Amino acid sequence: MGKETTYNFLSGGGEMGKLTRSKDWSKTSLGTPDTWSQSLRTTLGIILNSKFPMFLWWGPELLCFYNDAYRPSLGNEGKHPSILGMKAEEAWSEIWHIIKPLIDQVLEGGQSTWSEDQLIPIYRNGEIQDVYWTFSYSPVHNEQGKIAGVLVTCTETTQKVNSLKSLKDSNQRFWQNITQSPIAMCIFRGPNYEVEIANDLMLSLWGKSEKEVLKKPIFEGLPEAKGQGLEKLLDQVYTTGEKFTAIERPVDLPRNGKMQTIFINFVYDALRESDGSISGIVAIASDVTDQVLARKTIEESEKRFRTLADNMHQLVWMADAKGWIYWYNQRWYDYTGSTFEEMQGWGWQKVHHPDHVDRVTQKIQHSWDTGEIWEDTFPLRAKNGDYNWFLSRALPIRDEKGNITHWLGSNTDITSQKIAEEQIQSFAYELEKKVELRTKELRESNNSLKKSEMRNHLMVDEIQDYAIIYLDSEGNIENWNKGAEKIKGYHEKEIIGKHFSVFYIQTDKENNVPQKLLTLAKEKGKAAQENWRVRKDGSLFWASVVITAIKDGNNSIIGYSKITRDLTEKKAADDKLKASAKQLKLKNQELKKMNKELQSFAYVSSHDLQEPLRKIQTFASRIADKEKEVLSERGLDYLNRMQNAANRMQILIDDLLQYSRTTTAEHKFELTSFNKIVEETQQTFKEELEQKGAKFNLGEDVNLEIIRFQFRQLLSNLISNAIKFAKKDTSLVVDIKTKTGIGNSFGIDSLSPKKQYCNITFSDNGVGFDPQHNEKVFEIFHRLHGKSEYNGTGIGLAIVKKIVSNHNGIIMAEGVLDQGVTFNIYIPINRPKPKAR
Amino acid sequence: MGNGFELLLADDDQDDCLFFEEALHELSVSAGLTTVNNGEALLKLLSENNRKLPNALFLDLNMPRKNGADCLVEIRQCNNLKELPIIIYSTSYNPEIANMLFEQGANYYIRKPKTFSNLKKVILRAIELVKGEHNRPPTKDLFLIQP
Repeated sequence: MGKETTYNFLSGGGEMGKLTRSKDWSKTSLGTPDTWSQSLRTTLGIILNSKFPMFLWWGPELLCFYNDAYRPSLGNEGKHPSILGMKAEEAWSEIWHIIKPLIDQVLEGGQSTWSEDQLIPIYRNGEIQDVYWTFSYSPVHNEQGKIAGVLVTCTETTQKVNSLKSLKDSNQRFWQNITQSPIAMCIFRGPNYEVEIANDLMLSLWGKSEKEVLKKPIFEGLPEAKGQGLEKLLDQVYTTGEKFTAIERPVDLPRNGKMQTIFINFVYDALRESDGSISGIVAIASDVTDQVLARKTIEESEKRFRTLADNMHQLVWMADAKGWIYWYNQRWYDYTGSTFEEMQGWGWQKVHHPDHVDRVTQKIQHSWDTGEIWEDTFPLRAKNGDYNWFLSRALPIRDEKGNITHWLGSNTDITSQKIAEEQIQSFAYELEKKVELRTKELRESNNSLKKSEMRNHLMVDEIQDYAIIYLDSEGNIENWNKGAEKIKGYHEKEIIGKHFSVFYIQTDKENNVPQKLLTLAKEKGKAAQENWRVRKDGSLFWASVVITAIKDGNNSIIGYSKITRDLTEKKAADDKLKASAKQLKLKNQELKKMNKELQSFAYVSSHDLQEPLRKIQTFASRIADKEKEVLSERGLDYLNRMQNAANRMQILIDDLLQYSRTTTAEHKFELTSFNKIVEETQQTFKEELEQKGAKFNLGEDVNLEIIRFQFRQLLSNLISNAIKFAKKDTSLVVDIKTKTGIGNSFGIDSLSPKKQYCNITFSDNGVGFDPQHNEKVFEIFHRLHGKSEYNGTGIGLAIVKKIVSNHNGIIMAEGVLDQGVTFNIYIPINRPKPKAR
Repeated sequence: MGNGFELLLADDDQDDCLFFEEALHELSVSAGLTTVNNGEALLKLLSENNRKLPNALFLDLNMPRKNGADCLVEIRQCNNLKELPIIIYSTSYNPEIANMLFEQGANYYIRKPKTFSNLKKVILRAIELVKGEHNRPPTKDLFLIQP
């Protein structure tokens, strides 16, 4: 130690100031303080007087300086005070490799350094200690502006780091606690309740794997729990911080792919940060489903027992091991008219008969004491004061160890039984007397029965058209009439005693038909059959058989009557009729099919014929237009005739098409104003009608359910007929009138008498026809006039008739030669109901 | 083919195609005519990319491979063909079938006339209607073009 020299810049500075002043600096490369540069002096002055830990390396050898504030970091028995004025490399040899690069960075003109909570173990307190620092190295410039030293400002953060570390450790322990907790636990973090951690128990409670729920909001990982009110509970805890406890709350959770109601006891508690704010919720839960279900089962069975007991006819009660009765069923109260308060314990004695109560008490006490089953008979008072007799029993109920836990007792009302016992005696006597009387009566009626039987036999015997046979209960023939002999061919002597199955054909016998018929008669009283039977000579006859069971007064079978008729001839006639009906049906079907084919032929052929015909017409028109000049007059005439013929064919084909269409097209019935449809149709003939100066008189309108396009066709055919057959010198007048009424009001047999019809009358003042043609005009291709006179195909009225019959109606024509025609159409106002089938 | 008015005729009947062509010629309307002879060829032609759509299609019903009614349905299912004027051009006329075709989106109906002069009339009428942008008759009653 050198002597203390006084330098202004070294004044103050506490212990380190003193040490710095007293150090013999002449041995160092810096030399004595009076030679130190101004910048070193200034810097040292700041350091030594600062209360913040500081350290300085100065000069090329980086000699060490430090202040009092820094001093504790060096500990006891360490570098202090020896490193003062020592070269950095020697003083900090143990960490030189850490700090050298930082020092170099500063010396080479780089940036100041900043290190936070860095572990720099140093030698102090006699050992290498782990010390954490937050520190900065900064350059100190000399007068020439060069970097001459490195200033270290630092603070030791070992304590802070350690406490942080222990906080982390305790956090980890907390997590570990949750994971290993014997109860289901988890932490929901944040306002979305993200699952931060959940132990296995919680996962299995949720029925989820860790992967499904971890780091996800709980209602996303466990959507099954949504909408069960849990969201609200969590929100409440999260916002208020108040703990929530649930007992046996039912929650639906997934179990083995299905939802199941789980009963859970759980607690939600807020997790608070150090500042008191809530950052999550810790949940603790335990599955108490088994307990709850077990309890519910007990409650259920208890309830069932009470319901059963209350609805029993007996009076039922339960007592504890000492015989204290603590429960009666409802019947007890209903019967005695008492209350539980009066009856509990030994209160039952109040409804016992005074003559019996001591005996009963003594006997039951014996059972209470010994555990023997109790049985007794005694009267009990009803609420109306009467006493009924009861048979009573009580059974001890024991636990697993065999100790009696309680008694179950019942009292059965046997009053009526007692009375019955007394009555039986007198009954027996009465019965004996009655039997005697009855026997006498039977004997008498037996005689009269014999008489009536004889009468019966006589009658049966004489009947010849029916075989009447009596069978015993086994089916053996007991009796046989003349009719039977005639029909079956056996004589009475050879058949009595044989089984009636001899009349059956072989296959029926094999199929057990005779026995089946007997069984049927036995069960239903009667069995009937029509089938082949065998005569004695082996020939077959068609038999109608009725077997009737005969019963005695006790309703037991004593035999059967069997009535057989020979229906062979009737059968033959029936068969013939059936065969011809079948043939007729086949013929009918064939006809229908042919008809249908014909219709489709008409449709297809007329349709396809149109095409070439049109070509002929068009080409003819081309020739007539373009080649007129080159044709001779005769050629032109031929062409003209050809065109006429083609045009007629055109009309014929169109009509044929119409006709087949009215048959094949779908029928759609619509409610339609009749006059409106007449007017519409009239419009299409506007020009021709004007030419003829035609006048239409329409009657009252009526709404009809009709197939519109067909009806339009019908009217159009009638109108065009009227135009065609109008008189040449008179203007055409057409009257179209309607009248409605039920079928029989028109006096026409073929109308349904009760159905509502509309009678449409269509009459003109044309040339008319002889009434002898009234029927024929509707025949297809039937024409009354020569082609040159009135052209036409003879299909128009056939179409009209067809349409009317499509509407289930009829049409009639009345012609008067030179005066005109009247058509009467009758159609149902409402559409025909679709036929069955 | 010019860039003027273009007609497309789908008809398998060679005579009818000839009539149509001659009628168009005699009418001296400036319109180009393309003819296809069956339904499949028609649909193929209409589905060709980069091809200018015709201004109107005359569609026969009774054609081999694919008939006119089926073509109509398929054409109306294509988004770019929904507005194509289609004039049914058939020998027969059944009001029920005509109604159905109207419902399915046909614009007009021509029953092939029996005389050449009438043929010219109906073709001219159809062209006028399409040109006048009366693409669609206001009611079913006006569906059928009559000479």
